[in-house]
Amino acid sequence: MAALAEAERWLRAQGPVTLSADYLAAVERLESLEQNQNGACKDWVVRFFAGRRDLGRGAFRVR
Amino acid sequence: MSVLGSLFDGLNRRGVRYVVIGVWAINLYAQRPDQLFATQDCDALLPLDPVNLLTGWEVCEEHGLELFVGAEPLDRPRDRLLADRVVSRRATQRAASGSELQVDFTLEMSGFTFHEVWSERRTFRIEGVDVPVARLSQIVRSKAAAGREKDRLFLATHADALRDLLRRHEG
Repeated sequence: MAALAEAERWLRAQGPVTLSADYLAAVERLESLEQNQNGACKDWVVRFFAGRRDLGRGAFRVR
Repeated sequence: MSVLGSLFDGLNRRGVRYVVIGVWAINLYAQRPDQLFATQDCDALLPLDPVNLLTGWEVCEEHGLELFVGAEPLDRPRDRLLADRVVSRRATQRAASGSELQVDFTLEMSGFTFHEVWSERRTFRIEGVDVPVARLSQIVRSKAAAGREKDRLFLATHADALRDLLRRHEG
């Protein structure tokens, strides 16, 4: 807990978050991909998380 | 159709304006499963419009979702008066179906108005339903503006993931 509090203090001391030009340019490139245009099908994302939930549902304690 | 897909469909049919934001929206821009981030809920930004909000609640109830503000059930009666109060307090409401689905209706997005997010939205298809999603650039800028510890950590992780993603995509 002490380490967590220290980490939080360190993070707060970093000041306002700034996003680098490189990062923002990378975000724009990702947005511009054909798979991220209007009308793109994103069923695979929903299926992936549904699959993860189903996996957890089947779990049971062995001991 | 999943409960979430059905909810989006219901919201669209009733003309509820909303835009999916947050990590769930960020995941929709990913290219592969290893680029996805774990998240417990789906966040939707709604305008400061009590009528729109009230209709959203009705859709949630029609889909068997329970509504909460914080840990408490959303007050009843769920009427215009209540919607006005929720809007004035900018309170986030959670629509939940047990542990399977949690959708947060939020009325604020750091650094952006609803109009700004709505006007730049992308529309993705999920289970045959058009789902309005915030621009990735707006979501990350909002996280930076919010400046919470979890946002800082997320942005640092996302930057690494993005570099890797684009390196693979661009060969």
